[in-house]
Amino acid sequence: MKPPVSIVIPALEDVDLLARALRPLAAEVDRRGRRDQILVVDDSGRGALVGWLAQHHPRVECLALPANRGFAGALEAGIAAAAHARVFAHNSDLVVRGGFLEPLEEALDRPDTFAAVPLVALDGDEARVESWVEVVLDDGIARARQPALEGPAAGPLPAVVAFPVGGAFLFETSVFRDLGGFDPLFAPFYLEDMDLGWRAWTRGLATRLVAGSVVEHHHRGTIGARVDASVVRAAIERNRLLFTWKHLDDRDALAKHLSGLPRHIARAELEGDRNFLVGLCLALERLPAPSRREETAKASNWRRAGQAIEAAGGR
Amino acid sequence: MRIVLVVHGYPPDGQTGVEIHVDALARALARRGLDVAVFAPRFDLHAPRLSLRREARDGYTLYALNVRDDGATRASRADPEGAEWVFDALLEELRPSVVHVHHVAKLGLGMLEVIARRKLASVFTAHDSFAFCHRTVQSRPDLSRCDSMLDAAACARCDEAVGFLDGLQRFDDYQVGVLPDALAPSEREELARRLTQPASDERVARRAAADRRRHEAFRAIDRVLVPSQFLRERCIAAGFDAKRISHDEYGVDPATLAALGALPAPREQGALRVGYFGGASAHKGLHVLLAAFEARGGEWELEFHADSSDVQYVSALRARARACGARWRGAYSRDELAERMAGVDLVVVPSIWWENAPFVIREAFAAGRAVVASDTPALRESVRDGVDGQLFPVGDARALAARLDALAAQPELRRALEDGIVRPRALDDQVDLLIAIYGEAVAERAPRVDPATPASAIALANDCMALDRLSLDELARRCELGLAVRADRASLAVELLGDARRELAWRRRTEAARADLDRTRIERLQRALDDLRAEAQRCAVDRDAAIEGLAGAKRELDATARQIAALEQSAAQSASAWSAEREAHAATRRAFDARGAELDRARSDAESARAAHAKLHGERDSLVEQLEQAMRREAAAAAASSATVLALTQAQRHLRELERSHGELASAFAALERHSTWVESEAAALAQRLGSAEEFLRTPEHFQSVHAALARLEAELAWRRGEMTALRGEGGAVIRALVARSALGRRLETWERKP
Repeated sequence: MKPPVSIVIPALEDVDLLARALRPLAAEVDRRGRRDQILVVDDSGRGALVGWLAQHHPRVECLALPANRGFAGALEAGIAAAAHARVFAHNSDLVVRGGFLEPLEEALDRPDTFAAVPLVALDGDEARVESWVEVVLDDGIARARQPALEGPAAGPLPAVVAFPVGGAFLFETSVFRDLGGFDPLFAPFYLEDMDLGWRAWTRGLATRLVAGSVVEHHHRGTIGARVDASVVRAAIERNRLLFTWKHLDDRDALAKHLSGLPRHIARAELEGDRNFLVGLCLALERLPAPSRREETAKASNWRRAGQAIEAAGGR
Repeated sequence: MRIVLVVHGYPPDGQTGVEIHVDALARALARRGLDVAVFAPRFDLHAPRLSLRREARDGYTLYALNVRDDGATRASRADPEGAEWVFDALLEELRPSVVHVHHVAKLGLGMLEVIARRKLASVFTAHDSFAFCHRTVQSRPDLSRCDSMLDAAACARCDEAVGFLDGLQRFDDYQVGVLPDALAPSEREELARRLTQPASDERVARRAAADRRRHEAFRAIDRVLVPSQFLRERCIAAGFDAKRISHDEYGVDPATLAALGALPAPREQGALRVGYFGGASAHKGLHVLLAAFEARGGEWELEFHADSSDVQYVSALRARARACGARWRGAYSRDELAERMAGVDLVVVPSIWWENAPFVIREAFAAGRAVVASDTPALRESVRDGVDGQLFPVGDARALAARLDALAAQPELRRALEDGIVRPRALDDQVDLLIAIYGEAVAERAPRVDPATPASAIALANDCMALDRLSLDELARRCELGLAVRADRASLAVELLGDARRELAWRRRTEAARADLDRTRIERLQRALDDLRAEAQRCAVDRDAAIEGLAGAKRELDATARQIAALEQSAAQSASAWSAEREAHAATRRAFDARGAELDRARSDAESARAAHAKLHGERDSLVEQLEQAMRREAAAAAASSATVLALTQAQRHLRELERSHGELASAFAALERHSTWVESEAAALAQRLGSAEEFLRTPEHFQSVHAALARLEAELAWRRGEMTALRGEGGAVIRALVARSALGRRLETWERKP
């Protein structure tokens, strides 16, 4: 008998959306009969969901945050409050399909696994898999690529992807904590999941794509309704640069990237690409932070690795 | 705060009240430390169309867009294609906090659409009815005032009438409209027909679509400023949100205020000097003032300080002014305003359109001159009847003449009005209000923060907003500076290299421990170690490459900096060239003014010459009269001579006939003579024979018959002799009479009298 799972759902005030997500989820929990926990993290900042959940879903637990922390912050709060060691991160605009958890649990049981991600079908279309993601260098700057969204001839699904995308993945909370959780460097949004997956991958921990587990993603842009689209685009550009500076450790690529930045600036100025320039300004303002943070993170990671080796009887 | 002012023209080329006001406003805003740019059209046939000239002005920058029309239509001149693209690119570069639109005539509604698309805070000052009337002044092409509001059918009739006037080549740039008096009767009828009969459905639909676009464009403006309550009500009637409209009275530039305030008071002695200042367009009603002058009953003088491109209207006015003794002083520069204003005692604003809040009234008040103005709702706000001026019914020249006659006759009345003048608002006061309104508009545009937005997202959005105010160029410079500042950290490459070395050293220290681990783990760690070693070696080589790359980037930055310096130098050269051009322009203007003075002198000479000419003309008329009399006498003599000649000809003809008759009579007389001679000879012969025969014929019968025959012959002879004598007498008398009446006779007389 496998241990139960905590399903953590960061949510805002959109109760219709939440109701649509909770119905199949509750049915699935009932079917499994393993005391799985459904924990809704009320990120409205004013406890807007507490009463509604108590009335309509009394078995669903609610963690009301005193202030809005965004998806990553709310998820971390939910992980901290989760009753079980395994957590399924569940975005509020997901709709799970029956039997989605068991294949993920099996995948997570495999060694050297950070997370197991389901096949996230965009708008329910299994040909448009959002969770098939790669990290590529695009003209010297990292970006996430989703091959299945680029066209029909994407090829067979890979077994391992670069990171868990779309707020739908199963993981061990201990590993999540070991990895340091989401890096606030990328706050408030975008690419924090890519950073987390990349850090796991550099530790030799894989993110496994499980084709036998399907969830539907019915996109309901939450942050886009609160901030201007230009802010979102600037945040993406900023975080692409921060991710590149944080993780690019190939000498050639790094040299190419650094020497290419003036060219990028000139191109953006000529083409009127304000998003890139704003993103670069924002990233530069954070530049001293990633190096220090990385130093600290790496030191602690290596210390932990050394301690693990010593514990295994190495020295 | 960076402000962009948009206006339809600019000094020195544009000299209308609005254009001059915006120039002063830009300087005043710049003095307050605001970053001010002005966007305006220009017309330069020698520069590429849509080229944007950048000029450093007095504390601000003027961006002048060349919108030369190249034979474009009226519609395309009002809305030049491509102007909005240039404006869009300029806004992208400048990233203003606020765009303050004063007028978009000659630039097009595209300006407003660009501002709305960019979601920029926007302020619009309604200087006229352009926001709801495509003809700008709510006057029809026959210059009658229009009350319609957003009525596409009525506006389309105006379009029809404009189409007709455009076809009358002689009017050329007639601006708002043409006075019916200037039209031929058939043209008047056609204009009236077009203004009363329904326009085609197509034209109405086109006008309705254009009006919708206008309405949408202006509705997107954040704040609307109106200098008169009248225009505020019109804007509200046109669908503007009353909450967005603020009354903002015009302020007068401090320099102008000081110059006008220092003028001496209107003179106390001599004839009242009345002046008109402003544009010489028909809707400004200069003809009404001139008609009042022509109908004046009092002693006052009139000067027009005006000009315009409506050549037909201006030339007609000038001719009338010259004829009735009014002076036409022509256009004036801002520097000349005080000197021109000093030469008048009273200012008249005789507009026949609705008007708004004319700058000239403020300037007249600043100079202490009372104003007589048309009684429109808007002008009633500027001129208080009987307090600081007087009002007269719109277009009523007789009423205007009566008021000016009274003011000329009663100087104390005029002085009372001057005492009632309140000093106009200073531009700096207006600027205070404007800056506050700009701030409100910017605040209104700031994004609303949803309570459910993460604090980090709000912080990011604020950072983005701060960066969004920078131009592309400023953003790029900031990025380059950020890179340069961080270059001394030897870049991330060096740091990462250090990390890798430290990691390698630590792994070497733990190598012994790993020997006891299971094979798979050892192999994996060994591979990782190998990778790290290889990485370390690559790092050692590539660090130099990275540093070289940075050095290359630095070199590129230096080269770019040098290019920028060269461009700045080039810009400085352009600026100095422009200054030279401006000086040349000023010199040309001085020469022009000198020529103007010469022209005035020449005009004066021409007037003298005209008087002399008139005198000569009188003399000529007298001479002509004398000549005509002489000619009449000559004609009578000629007629008499002709009759004499005709009579002479007839007499000569008669003489010839008489001569012919005389010839015939003479020949008949000769024949009679010969017959008489023959008869006498016969009678003698008969007598002889009678004598001889008497004897022989002593017989009584024979004798008696012969004797009877002889008696008949003797009787016939006597008759013939009598006839001949009578004929001789008659013929001689006639001949003598004829000869005496003829030239021949006169010659004969002369000949006869000749010794």
